[in-house]
Amino acid sequence: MRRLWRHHPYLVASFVLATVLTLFFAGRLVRQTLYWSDPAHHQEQLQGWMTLGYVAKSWHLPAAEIAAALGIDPSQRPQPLSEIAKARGIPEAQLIGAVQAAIADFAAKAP
Amino acid sequence: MTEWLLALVPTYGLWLLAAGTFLSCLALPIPASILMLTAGGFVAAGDLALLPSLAAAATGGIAGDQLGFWIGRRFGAPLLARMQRNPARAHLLARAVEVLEKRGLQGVFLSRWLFSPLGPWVNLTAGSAGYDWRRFSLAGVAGEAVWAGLYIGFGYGFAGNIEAATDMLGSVLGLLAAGTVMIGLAIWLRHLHHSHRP
Repeated sequence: MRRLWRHHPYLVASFVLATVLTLFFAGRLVRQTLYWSDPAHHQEQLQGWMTLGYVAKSWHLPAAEIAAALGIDPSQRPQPLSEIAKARGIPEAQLIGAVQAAIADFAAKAP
Repeated sequence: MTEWLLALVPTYGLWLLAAGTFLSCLALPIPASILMLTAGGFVAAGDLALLPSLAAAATGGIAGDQLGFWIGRRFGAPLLARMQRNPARAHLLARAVEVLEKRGLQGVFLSRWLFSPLGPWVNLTAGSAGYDWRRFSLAGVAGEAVWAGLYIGFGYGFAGNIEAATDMLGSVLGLLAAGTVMIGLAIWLRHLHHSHRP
């Protein structure tokens, strides 16, 4: 090893660096696996680009009931929340608030 | 910009995916990975179909690779021919072509998904240096399929949690890339170690 280091310092240094990086990513992966396996971290914050189906999937809720609570026809072509808000002529934040309220309602009713 | 793009996915899904991967294979700054992860999430939510999404993303990437390759062949090859008139450069170029011939298949395949920032440059180089088109295409198609499958698959698996999917896929790919380099260097060092022995 010492002789390799003397003859090929850059190669050995690159190998050490690659090893450190491999360990770093392995550690990061373990930490993330633990973090994201906690159900409390599953729900993604609502954003304008999400569709109702996407929100329902993220929050583990039945899409049809959330759609019904908001007065949206579930058979309709999937639309992002921002589009739905535009079609109704209301600000995006207001619609997101309504979706949040529907989710909270549903969670309160669920056993 | 990214959010604006993501909001277009449910509406223009397949075309957007194909355009995104196509442009990103030409080294344009399109967040193709996030597009594919999000599309995977929409597939899980039932807003997009799985197979067409995979096909669209992979096809866009393959078309982008081909364009890059042929741009290299058309404009890069004459440039290289001119540079070859200098004997020192000609030697280096010959070496580069030799490496490409020996390791080209793995190089093209891995630069599609594992070392993806290199992808567009590998396309141009392979085209310019006269690398065999059939082998380039074979490795390219396989690599793009892995790329699309990996990102859409992760988006699907982490349905509705793009942040988790992005985080974990980043670590998985980082681990694979660093691990590949580490093993490659270990093999090389071992080889040198043995050849140094009296």
